[in-house]
Amino acid sequence: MKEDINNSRFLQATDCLCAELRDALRSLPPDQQNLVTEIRMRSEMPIVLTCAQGAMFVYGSRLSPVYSQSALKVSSLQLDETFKRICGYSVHSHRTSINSGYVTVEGGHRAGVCGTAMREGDDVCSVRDINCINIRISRQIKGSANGIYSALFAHSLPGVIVAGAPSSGKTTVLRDLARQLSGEQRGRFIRTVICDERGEIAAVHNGVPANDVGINCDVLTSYPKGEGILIALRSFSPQVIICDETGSEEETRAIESGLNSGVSFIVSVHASSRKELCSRMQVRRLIETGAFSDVVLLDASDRSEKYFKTKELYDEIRGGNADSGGSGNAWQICGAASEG
Amino acid sequence: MLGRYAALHQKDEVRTLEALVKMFSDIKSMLGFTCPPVGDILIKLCSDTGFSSLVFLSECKNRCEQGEAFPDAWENALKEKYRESSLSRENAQKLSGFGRGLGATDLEGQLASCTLYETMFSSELERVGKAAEKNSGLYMPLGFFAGLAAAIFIV
Repeated sequence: MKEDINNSRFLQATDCLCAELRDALRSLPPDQQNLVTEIRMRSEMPIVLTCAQGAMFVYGSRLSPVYSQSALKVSSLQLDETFKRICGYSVHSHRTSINSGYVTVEGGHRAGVCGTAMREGDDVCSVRDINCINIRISRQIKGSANGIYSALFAHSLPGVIVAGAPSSGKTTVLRDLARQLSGEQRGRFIRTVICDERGEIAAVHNGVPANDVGINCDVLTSYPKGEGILIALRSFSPQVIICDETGSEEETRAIESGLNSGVSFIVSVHASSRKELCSRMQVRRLIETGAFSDVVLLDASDRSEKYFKTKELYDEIRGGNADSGGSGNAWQICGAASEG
Repeated sequence: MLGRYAALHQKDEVRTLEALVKMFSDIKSMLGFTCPPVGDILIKLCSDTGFSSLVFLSECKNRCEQGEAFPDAWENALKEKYRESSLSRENAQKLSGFGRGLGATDLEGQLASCTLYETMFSSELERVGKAAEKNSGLYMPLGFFAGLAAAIFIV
């Protein structure tokens, strides 16, 4: 496995910070820059960098897990300037995503933003007083899906749910699967469509994917996933559709409609353990469609993968339902993929 | 010559103000239709020959392309090019305020800002237009007499 260009992603992600913070973080040694997965900024608080070792504070050009008053702090003016830079000085163009709590910046890095929500009924119509920004550095690790490809995709195209805890690398795996399925590495050139609602998988900028997602891959950026799936089915005749963080009712309905078209779906969901997988309604809904035959659970701690057949999980959940007094036919797998 | 120069300068100012009023209207339309980021707005404005008199726009675009933050690029471009754009210092300062706000708020805020500046510069256009009309007949004789006075003084 190799990361595309060591710390270039870090430099790209810090490009959206205000000048003082950008210069401070870029003065860190490259080997330390490469460890950073998140940059957390809170108004009038120290900047916190998330690394594999945990939270780190910045002191000049070095990192330390120990906090003291001299750690680099973020002023409210710096946070405000950073927010505007993240939006490309075009806050109006990012209203919807800001209301959803994030802005995707060039390179597919996701900047989570939070402040005070202004509401109209149940909907957030605007966010003011931004007081926290968390930039998650997106990395393309070519080969991160090698194991999954060999285990599941070498001779077929099954429907797969990729599960994992936050920051376990689900998006990285989806990106690499797209690259391997549709790219020249395997030579299969499978027609792949990515429904990239948050712009994180392909990171399309000015119409060109910033990440390598393969030659024969079409990307629908910013479409709601449900709508994107339907558009892909209507117009692109894909063999595989890839979506990140899927499982709403609308998305599930769209996946069901794709079943009859012979399309395979590869989606990701949040779940850090088998138990969590079995208890999440989102996973139940997906398995019930019958579009998925396998589940891969990513373990962030040792970068390993666990494989389950959806039928196993289905039985386990049914067993769980029975134990808890749930009705036996509360849910059932509809399609044929689970039989595969 | 002096009179002709003064008359031409006032005409240029009127043309610039007309272009500015149209610019605010165009930005409002773009925002209302596709909500584009400021970079795209700048590119569209610079490619429109109707705004070629607003020299500061292309300067701002160039500065943004070189990595300068948009509000700084706008302000510095105005400082550097406001004379070439036939803008008075006061109008350049007003425009500078528009640049500081462009892209800093949500869509409603942007549309309100455009309307405000459109109204402000429409009034300015009306004022300068009337003055130009009133003075157009005066500049030529004024220039002639100034030249005559200078000649008499030299002789």
